[in-house]
Amino acid sequence: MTRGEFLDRVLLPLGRLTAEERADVRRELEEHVEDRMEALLEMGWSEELAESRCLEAMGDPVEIGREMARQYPGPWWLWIGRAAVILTAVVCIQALLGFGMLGYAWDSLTVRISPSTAVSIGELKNVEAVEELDIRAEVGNDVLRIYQVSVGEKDGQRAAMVLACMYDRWPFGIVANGLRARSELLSQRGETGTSGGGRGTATAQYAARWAPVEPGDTHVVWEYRAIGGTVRLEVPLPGGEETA
Amino acid sequence: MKKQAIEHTRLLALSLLAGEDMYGYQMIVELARRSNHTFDMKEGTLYPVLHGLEQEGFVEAYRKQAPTGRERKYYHLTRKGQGALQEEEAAWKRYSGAVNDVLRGGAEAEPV
Repeated sequence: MTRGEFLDRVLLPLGRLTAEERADVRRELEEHVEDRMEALLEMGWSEELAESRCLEAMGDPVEIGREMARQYPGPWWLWIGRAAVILTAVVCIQALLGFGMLGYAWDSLTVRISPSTAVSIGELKNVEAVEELDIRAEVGNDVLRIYQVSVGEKDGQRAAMVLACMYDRWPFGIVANGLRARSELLSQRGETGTSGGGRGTATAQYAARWAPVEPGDTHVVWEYRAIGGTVRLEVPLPGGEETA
Repeated sequence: MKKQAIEHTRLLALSLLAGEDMYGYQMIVELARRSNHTFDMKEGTLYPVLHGLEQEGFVEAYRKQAPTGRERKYYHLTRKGQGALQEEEAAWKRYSGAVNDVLRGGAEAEPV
């Protein structure tokens, strides 16, 4: 083992020391070896033998390193460190609960994995068909997703109800507000339902809109008025062209 | 046994520094001289002890040119360290006194 290898082994368990402290330990031990070697060289030892004798006299580098590591950090700041970690965790949990951010994080996950269907236009009677969809469009940093279409009866006429959600491109990101207010569902003739439903939080927006449909209609159009322009998504009706 | 060896090294290190400020190698040489080479400790094990004493505030370190002309890390016994030395010395005297008492008792008991 060379002097360098010996010092490397001593320093191995000292990862939690600062770079300055590690350099200090290395320098001090190196100086010790230097002094011991000088004494041996003066006695006529060869350089190689002197170094080997010095390192032997130093002892086991792994044990020296382990013992040295035990001295750092001192007990006082170890306890302050532990107390700080616990305090930080408590403050973070309090803050997350306080600002409802845990709830927002949950909303952000559910909206992209399994969007809620507990959003509606009110009663859709005599439901003929319900179909899950996955039609997406990027709107700025957000994603608009159509995830369900149903056909039934609304206010005495045949109607299609579409559910859409919106979320930030990145999990836990903040989404633009007002999906319900900015959206409309249009039939192939441009007719639209008069009401809609929806709800939203900072990370997940939901909206339900309806439009009258007639036999032979193949699709409806979800229109979202974004700041930069209007996004139109064609939503196929259940059963394709056989809706009549 | 190892723990006790380290405790002894603490006491010896504090005691050496009570006389004058020293650097590690100097302490090893001085220890060997004063003990007539009785303490055959691994030299590297002195440094964790010194760093531990420094962390506890018993010694302070500073760099200074040694008589060899090279700069070395010197250790200085603090007031707190002097108190620790007195305590450890008293504890050691109690311990060695007790060992002596036992040995003396054994020697006296032998002829009976």
